[in-house]
Amino acid sequence: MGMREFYHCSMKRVVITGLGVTSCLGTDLETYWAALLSAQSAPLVVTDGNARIENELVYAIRGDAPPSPPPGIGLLGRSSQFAITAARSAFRDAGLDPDGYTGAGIAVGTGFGDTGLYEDAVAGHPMPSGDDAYPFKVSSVLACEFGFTGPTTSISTACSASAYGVSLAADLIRAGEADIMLAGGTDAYAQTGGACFKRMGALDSEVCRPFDARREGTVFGEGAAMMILESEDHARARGRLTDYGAVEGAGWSCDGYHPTAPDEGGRHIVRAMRDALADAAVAPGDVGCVVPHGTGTPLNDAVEGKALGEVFGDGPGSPCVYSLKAMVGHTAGAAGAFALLTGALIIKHGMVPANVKLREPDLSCGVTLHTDGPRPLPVSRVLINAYAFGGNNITVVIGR
Amino acid sequence: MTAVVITGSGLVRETAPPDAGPGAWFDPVPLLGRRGWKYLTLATRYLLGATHLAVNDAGLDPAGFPDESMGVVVGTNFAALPVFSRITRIVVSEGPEMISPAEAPNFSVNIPASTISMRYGMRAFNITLTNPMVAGLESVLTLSMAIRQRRARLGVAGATEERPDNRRIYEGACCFVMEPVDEVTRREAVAKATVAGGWCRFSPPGNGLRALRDPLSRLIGQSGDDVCYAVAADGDIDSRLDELCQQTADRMGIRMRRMGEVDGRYVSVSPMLHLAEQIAAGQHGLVLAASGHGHVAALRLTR
Repeated sequence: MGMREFYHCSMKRVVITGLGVTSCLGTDLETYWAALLSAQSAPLVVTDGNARIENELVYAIRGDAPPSPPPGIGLLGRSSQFAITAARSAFRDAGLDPDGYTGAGIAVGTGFGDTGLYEDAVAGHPMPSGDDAYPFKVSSVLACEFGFTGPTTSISTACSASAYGVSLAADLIRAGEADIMLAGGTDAYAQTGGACFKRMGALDSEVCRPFDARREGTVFGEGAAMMILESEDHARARGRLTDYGAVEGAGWSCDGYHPTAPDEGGRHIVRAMRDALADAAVAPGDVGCVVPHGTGTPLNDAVEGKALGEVFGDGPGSPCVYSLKAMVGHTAGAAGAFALLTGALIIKHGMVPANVKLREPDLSCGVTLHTDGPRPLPVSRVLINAYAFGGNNITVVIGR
Repeated sequence: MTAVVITGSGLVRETAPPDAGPGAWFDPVPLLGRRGWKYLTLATRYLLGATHLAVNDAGLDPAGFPDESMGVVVGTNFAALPVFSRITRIVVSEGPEMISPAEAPNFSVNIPASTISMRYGMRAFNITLTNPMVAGLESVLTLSMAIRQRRARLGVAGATEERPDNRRIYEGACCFVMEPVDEVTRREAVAKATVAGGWCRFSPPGNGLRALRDPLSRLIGQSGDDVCYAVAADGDIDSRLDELCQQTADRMGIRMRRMGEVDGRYVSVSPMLHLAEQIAAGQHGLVLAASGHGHVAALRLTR
């Protein structure tokens, strides 16, 4: 397949200048990174008193008091709560006071949005009404919270939503629509989503273990990962270039094959990876690490592993693979943003944390996961995959 | 910059007051055939129906194009909520094992858009947008940008809504086939409107739409001609938008003429109906959509 030619409205470089996270591993970057380095994580058993679901495993967030709704917002769902907290952290990390940048924009991905409010309503809480009735109002919440007037979008391509959010945010900056974009994703545990996965036989009964021979399915996580994207010129002008790298390219594709299963040939996820590399104008050998979608679902991991082999080969020069969901679970619409945020931290620290040890690596996937300690990042560039129901695929390349 | 044009429109919608049950107004057979839609949600059926009409209107044979050259972008707010709520009630009262396996995937709001890709082999990309009220207009803007970036040669942009339990909205779907002007020439199709520009912004509470003045001026000032416009809005933001349009027109010395009534009843489909009406009437102008929270999108059509 030849290199695809992309056309952008300008050649503006879009850099990452701030990160913020709300996760089961912690709500500040230092704690999150330290937890990743420990390579130890386990889901909690969630007792959902409102639903007839027994012993559901979730990489759940416990603790922190929720933020108050911003002006203009009534009911605040947990996805929105996570997003506010992570976004505030991202602005602090970027050294930005949002009050001074009201022209900034927002691109947030979420699979469930604030549909948790509807689950609560079935259990007797108030039914969302008026403006609160919109299930996917996270972007509205964030815009009200920070008073932003720039381009604002909400993407819900299921589990690839937030990676699309970051890609679209970078496009909007390149198009001159904004100098600063808050981009990322958020999703809270949703009993309905979990129950549907259980009904489809897509949940693991023990732990999230992508690329393990005994994997049974995924285990949901929850949280938000947000990043501040800026035009490089804007970041330089305010003296805030960072070591997180830039959004260098993105490749979009769709399997168009089945509502839930991937195309077993992997043709379109290979295309997404190659298009992302072409968009970034780099070769496979220029990538130091891959954060795969890797959910623990038997067929998905097998197809992705084969596709990675097709793009990168399996020789000594192939990039490290970091299997993030073994640490944070499958954070649904936020998964791509979690992978991107982790990729930015890998670039900043110049190392790839050790993977969680698997009991029985599935050699047929063709994916080698290092478990003997962190590895140096040989090339400061990370490729991130995010896939979804309906085969809504995306690959994003970040690097410096 | 590559001009992106609309070559086909497709529309299905509920016209009587929504007193009957969801879907009672829609017969899928003439548009979708007798089989293959039983396990699809109503929102998905509406969207497929509108896509069928738009593709026919454009004279497009998707099978004649490489699948990776055609993209799909769909806006919606409530497409998944009816089935989500139905499944939630089952989970609470009976447990996950009582969920219909055929219905289970439909909890995800991107399934309607994904079904277009499966049916028509449109595999360049598939995106679902969900900003309140404005997601439909955003789908046109997003597909337009993606075509200009060469992420697709052509595609379908649309919106669909299904009535949830707690909101008395009108149901329907509206789709447009969009392509670059050189593709239209190549396949000897007819360009019905050109996407001349647009944006999606936010006006926070207390901002008084001030932030929209410059982007609106740029959009309507492109040609210097008089502009007709339509508004689809939720809540009292409508009158403020109207005022903003008139003030902007006065300042620029042009005349802005409002078309039709404000119609937010179809939620994200509402502004798409205005677009379809402008195209059908040959009165290309401006369509605005706004949510009560403060999302505002604008799209300018020219001939």
